[in-house]
Amino acid sequence: MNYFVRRAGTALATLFAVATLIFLTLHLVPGDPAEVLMTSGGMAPSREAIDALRISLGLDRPLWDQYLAYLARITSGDLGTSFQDHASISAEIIRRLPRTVELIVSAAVASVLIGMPAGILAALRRGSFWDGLLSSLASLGLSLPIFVTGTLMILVFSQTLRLVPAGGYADFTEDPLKHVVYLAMPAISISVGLIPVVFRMTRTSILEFLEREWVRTARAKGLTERSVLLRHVVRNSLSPVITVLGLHIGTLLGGTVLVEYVFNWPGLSGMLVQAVEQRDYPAVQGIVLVICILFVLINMGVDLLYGLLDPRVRAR
Amino acid sequence: MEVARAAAKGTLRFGLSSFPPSLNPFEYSGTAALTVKLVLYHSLLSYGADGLVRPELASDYKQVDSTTYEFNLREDAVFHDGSPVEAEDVKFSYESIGAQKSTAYLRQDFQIIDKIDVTGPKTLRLTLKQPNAVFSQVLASGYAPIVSRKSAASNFIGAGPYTLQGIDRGSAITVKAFPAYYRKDLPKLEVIRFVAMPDESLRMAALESGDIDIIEYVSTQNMGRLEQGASTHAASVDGPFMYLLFNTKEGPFTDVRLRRAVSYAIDRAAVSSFGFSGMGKPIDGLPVPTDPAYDPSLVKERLAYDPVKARALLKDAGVSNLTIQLLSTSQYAQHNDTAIVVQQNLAAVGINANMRLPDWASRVSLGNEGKYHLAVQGTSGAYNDPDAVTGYIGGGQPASYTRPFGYENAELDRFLDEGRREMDTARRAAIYAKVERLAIADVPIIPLIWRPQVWGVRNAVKGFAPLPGFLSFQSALKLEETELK
Repeated sequence: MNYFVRRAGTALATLFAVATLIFLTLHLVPGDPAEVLMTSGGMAPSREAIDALRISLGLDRPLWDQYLAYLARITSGDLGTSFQDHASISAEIIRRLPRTVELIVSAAVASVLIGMPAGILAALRRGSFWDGLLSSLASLGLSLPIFVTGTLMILVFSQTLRLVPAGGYADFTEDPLKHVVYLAMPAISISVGLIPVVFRMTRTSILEFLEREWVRTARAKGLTERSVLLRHVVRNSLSPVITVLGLHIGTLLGGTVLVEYVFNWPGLSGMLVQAVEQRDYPAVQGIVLVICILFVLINMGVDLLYGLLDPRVRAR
Repeated sequence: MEVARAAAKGTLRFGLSSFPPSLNPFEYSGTAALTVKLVLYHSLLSYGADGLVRPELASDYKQVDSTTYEFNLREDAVFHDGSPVEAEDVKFSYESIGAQKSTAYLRQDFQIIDKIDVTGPKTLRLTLKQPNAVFSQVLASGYAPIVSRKSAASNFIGAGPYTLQGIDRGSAITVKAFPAYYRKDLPKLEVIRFVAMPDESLRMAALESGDIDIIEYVSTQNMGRLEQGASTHAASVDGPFMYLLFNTKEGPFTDVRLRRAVSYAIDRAAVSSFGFSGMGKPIDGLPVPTDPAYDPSLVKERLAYDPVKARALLKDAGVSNLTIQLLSTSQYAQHNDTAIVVQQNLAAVGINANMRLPDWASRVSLGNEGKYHLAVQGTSGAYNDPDAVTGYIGGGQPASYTRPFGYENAELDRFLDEGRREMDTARRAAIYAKVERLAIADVPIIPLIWRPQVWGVRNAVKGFAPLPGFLSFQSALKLEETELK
């Protein structure tokens, strides 16, 4: 209980710090939302028009006043409306977040399904041809930037082979098949960077656990090699893999920008970049807050998973 | 209401460079948004393929005297809710644009209207406060649409060839042919789906693989690829232009000799070949597209590249080792690349330029506040008439990143004013020759090159062609005649 309260306290403090920091940073960066709104494409609005817009957006008020109003707003769960078209930020996040989460989760599932067996194989056949091949592939996957993978995939699969559309999005409820087709390339290009992470972590972790005394004990007491591996080695080696994967998923929440851009996937990261470019303060603040909350939640989730995997953590 | 007509058919997919932040027809929300607005809303007047003003929701109009215009509205024009387009709707729309608290893009331009008299259900008279040669151009703008007086902001009802079918916020907008549209047998397409694709390489890929039929904002580097493609071609016009502007209030360029020196130092051919694949046509005078009221042959002195003269001017001014702040943006390659060439050109005559390349939003703010000595800018005028240059070099306007900071020239302003009030084309051309001569001598801005505005089009698409010059951003007017073969 005490542990939980402390964790929740830290989480709240983190959220408050992030909320304040993002507010200050946004207001410190040059670039006025009203000006941006009225000047795209090189147009010159009149001073009065800009001033009228600043007043209607509440940007004419003193900074501390805006800050207090902002804090009051977010603590009551209201993320406000967009400077661009007065659409509700929370509604837009609710629409877009699942798309980004879907991308990340599909990529994560693919990475576990491919990276883990490959990691186990490489560890058990350490130094073999397979180990060498898989490890080299992992290095390649890790070093390829996502825009290279993505652009190459578009070139090969949509422009040359014409198998899939170059990019875009279809709603699952309208056309499930098309939805999956659009999802495939961006999800795969994320997993190209994620599979090696899982692979390497699994391989290192298993190699480490294979050396432990209790593995020797398990073997000595006559357990089958299969049982030793599954119950004692693999299960124990999952913890570090999950930690790393959890951290990566958290980072990906705001970091699928390039993938979403290259494949025109209308997710949360794309919305964040656009909001920054347009100095849409409420949108940037809302998205960053939501990402921060999710990050905290994922970390708590990872802790819970440890407990399931390792009874010692539960007892503590 | 149903008229016997050939059924519109086919779905055209249009790749926009960004998702329209708003579809409010009176407000400025970017060129991608204007493309969509132009198929939903129509104005009293508009532009034909030749770039000349034509009647649109008006069946005809005449100028009774220098300040009075009379309009007859089309008998067959109806709004998307089925109600007829009437003079009261025109009055409502124009009053909304010109209102005190209006955020309309043309609010300032509409202040010239003195009176709007509704003389019948389908007739009205507009009286201006003073004669204005470009008034019909203002009414033809996509930002002066007629909306139903029964509708209100965020859901204005228009009378364009297409009706709004659906918005997938952030990614796509779908419009459907309006069956009661007033032009017979138009529009030809049943559905247009506007898909936002911010990445140019993706727009190119989608066009080439056949997922998209028309894309906008193709860079000159990709034009050859479109022309060589088996199923694609490029449609291009000289649209916007690139120019340099000075801070004439603070810093070294308060001195006209130094402005002239910079003007001679810039190699337009290099700007064109480095940033625009050699396709940017140099501008040697005022940035005015072809127009009857502008005749460059009247002015002998032209802008030219002459680094020797530039060095001589610097020497005359007693300046050596000059270091200046050059402002541009890294967000758009065309602005970035132009700045790089300018920096090198300046170095060649002994001016050291410190480059500042923030993102677009910051660049706009720094420009509005005059925090630069020399800045790179690209823009498009409101119309092809030479009066459009008032927006860049005219005085008495608020400071803007599109105008040289602090620049005022009373003589220039007098000529500009004269040109606007004069109705005779030949006399106007003579007035704008004086404007040009002054602008070349006083160099508030340095026009550089015309920037090709390029669309990528699949060969199956017929009937789409960009409008000339500054009107290129209103090319969506052609979408009602566009079809898929």
